[in-house]
Amino acid sequence: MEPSVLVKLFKIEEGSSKIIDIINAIDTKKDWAGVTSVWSLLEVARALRKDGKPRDLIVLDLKEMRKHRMTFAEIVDEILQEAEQLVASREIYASDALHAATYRHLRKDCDLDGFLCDDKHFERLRDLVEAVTIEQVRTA
Amino acid sequence: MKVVTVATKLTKSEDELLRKLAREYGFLSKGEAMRNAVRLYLNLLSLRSDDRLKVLQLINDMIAPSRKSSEELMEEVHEEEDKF
Repeated sequence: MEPSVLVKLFKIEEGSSKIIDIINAIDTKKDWAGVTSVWSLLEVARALRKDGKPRDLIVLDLKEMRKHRMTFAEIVDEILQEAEQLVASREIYASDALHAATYRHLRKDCDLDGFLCDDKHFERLRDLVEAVTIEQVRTA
Repeated sequence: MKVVTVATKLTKSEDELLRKLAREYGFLSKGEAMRNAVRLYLNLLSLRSDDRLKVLQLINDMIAPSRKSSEELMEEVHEEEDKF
């Protein structure tokens, strides 16, 4: 999961109801799993801060994120090295490279079906990962 | 009913806001207002997870509404990170 879809958890906008359905599916269905980099916590916090949310609300939002059956993957050396390669060889933001490398690193071990992201990241990263938008996910 | 006492510290401005809201909403005391606030908060946290997320989404939107989308916010975060 790319952090911009996680920010939707705390905003009312297009796709924000669907992301709750997706998190609920991850929480309740045995064959569903959600993985994101531990770095996402900081990026979501920064996005909420830029959105004008007060400190206590951001702290509560982050605690809420951690309460669900979502794995916050550690940034291990292999992920960093792959992200470095991506940054060195492409016009890509460092954090996009980190999230793409995290997905590629964990795809097999965690049996991941896709990299959940918004439309912008879908266009930007689809040749690197199996990008999936919120609208493409069926929870029912 | 067995009760326990929990002491807490508030900033001066929080204390003033509590006093003001307790008066406005007709609470007998700041303590009663605090007890109600705590119960409300505990009720929120006890909701089913999808309901809790929906309420939290609404609270976020009411407290700090914004015209920026998640996509736009995340782009700004990326740009900031890249400056470092």
